[in-house]
Amino acid sequence: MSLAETLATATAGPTSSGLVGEVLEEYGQAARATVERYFDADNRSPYLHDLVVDYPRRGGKMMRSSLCIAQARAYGASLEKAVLTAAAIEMLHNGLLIHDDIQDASQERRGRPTLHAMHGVPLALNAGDMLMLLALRPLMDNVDEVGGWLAIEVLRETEIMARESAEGQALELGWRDLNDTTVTEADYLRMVLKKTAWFSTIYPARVGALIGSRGRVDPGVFMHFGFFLGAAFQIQDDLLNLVGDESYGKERNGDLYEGKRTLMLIHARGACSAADRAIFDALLAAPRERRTAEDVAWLRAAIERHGSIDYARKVAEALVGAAEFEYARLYADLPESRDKRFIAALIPWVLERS
Amino acid sequence: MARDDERLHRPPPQRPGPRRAVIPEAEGVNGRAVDSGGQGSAGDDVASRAVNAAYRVVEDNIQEGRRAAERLRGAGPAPAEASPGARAIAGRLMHLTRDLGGTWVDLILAVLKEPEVRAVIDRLTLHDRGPVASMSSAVALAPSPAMSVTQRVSSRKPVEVTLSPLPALARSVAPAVAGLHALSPASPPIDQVALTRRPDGGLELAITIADDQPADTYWGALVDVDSRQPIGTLTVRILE
Repeated sequence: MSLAETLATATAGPTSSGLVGEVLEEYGQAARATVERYFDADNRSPYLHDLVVDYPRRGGKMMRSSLCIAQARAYGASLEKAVLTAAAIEMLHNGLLIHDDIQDASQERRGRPTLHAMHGVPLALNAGDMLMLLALRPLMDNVDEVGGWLAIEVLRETEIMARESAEGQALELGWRDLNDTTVTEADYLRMVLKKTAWFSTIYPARVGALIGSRGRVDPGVFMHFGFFLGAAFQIQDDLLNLVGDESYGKERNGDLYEGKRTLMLIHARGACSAADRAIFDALLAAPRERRTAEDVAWLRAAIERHGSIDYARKVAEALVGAAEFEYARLYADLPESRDKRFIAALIPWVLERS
Repeated sequence: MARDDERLHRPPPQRPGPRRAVIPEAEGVNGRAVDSGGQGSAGDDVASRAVNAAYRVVEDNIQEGRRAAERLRGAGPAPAEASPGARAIAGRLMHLTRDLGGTWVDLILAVLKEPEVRAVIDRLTLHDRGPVASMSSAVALAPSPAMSVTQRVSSRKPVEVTLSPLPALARSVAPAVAGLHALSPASPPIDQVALTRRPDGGLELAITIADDQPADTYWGALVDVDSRQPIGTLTVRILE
């Protein structure tokens, strides 16, 4: 099957969600079962154990862990070789979510109150720390599964990803806390590259390919593909925050309450008249607890008035196209497989999810 | 003298301020964004500009990553570039070496897991173990009923030392360590290693790890110097 046919097959029909849903379910289950092995059922530490297992047991898309496993399999490894790394990715993801929710003062996560809303910030913070440190265990157990050299390479990748992600998170928080109104769309893309794409798509693709190829593939080649896919994913996530349905799992307009610099917000502010821009900046300068529903409604109306939602959709679609182009370049020589088709189908799926 | 209205004038600038957006579509006229939604070719323009901007952002990140890697690894000046052909051969050689090493280790592990082999090892190691003195945190294996091995490891880094079970060696046998190499070409061999006879007939293994010795796993064969026959293996694992 030619590459064009692979893409056409993977993305044929009204949605690409059939294959994607199937693989996310299968690999997600494997990663989740492995994560559970690391939750010591006999050691139910008070104020810790129940908090640590809470977010991972709420479900989630399992996109990151599934991409890692699919990459490894597409490059020739078995699921077992990649599942420890996939489990570590899920632990890190959930730990970071706990910290994100605290930093953003978010109220809902996966349709339920956030951990800090239920237990307070100190205990939630501690549980997030625990989850991230716990992720070291499967990464160390990788020595037995993939060998010492590859296990170290995966750890190196993890360190790079952690640094990039922290830098991206710092950018987003700094812009918001200091009410930086000079943020441009290029700044936004840089932040998304670091905050979202590195962890969500670049890192799983890199470590999956390393494991699958036993270190033969240069992980650097996945930068473009991973970034375009991750950036489209993040823009769609930001869009869903404005227009998503009940299944979205977070509070509607939460990003506007938080004053998050999304592509829509940056675009709308740039399109405003000078007078409106002054109002825009004043509203963004207020701390979250003083931002009223009326303030948010005004920001929301400005975003709609200036076509910023459509604009962001176009950018996201363009990035999906770029990701498909990079996919075609990267995966042309790989033998046909369900995993290769899954990765191709994942590209349009990031825009189809609700 | 030309009148002011006869002079050529520069047209008024299209934008009053600096262009900040890498996606210029967002700036529109006078540096302000325009509504580009649903406008046919304008949409195509958004796409190409967005992708162009995204490529630039990721290229910048790659360059930034390279600089960070150089900085963090404390790399000196870059080595002279080898030709692409030589690089490809070196790469294949490295992979081959790594795979062979991995296969060798897998083979040894598989053999060690065989019940018959385990039984022999257990029989050898469960007998009287001689006294083992060590300066390292690692545990040494006393190889045979008749022998003991003293380890003297000098290292600032944590080190694990493992000796394979050795056959009973006659006093006349002069054992030695034949090299202590890592699979990674970036890790030079450990050269300060010596296996000598103690006055009581036991063995003394002395290893000195240089401060700049890379963390890695190093393997070496133990040989009978006179007969040139291998008698066992020594593994030294340097941890970060």
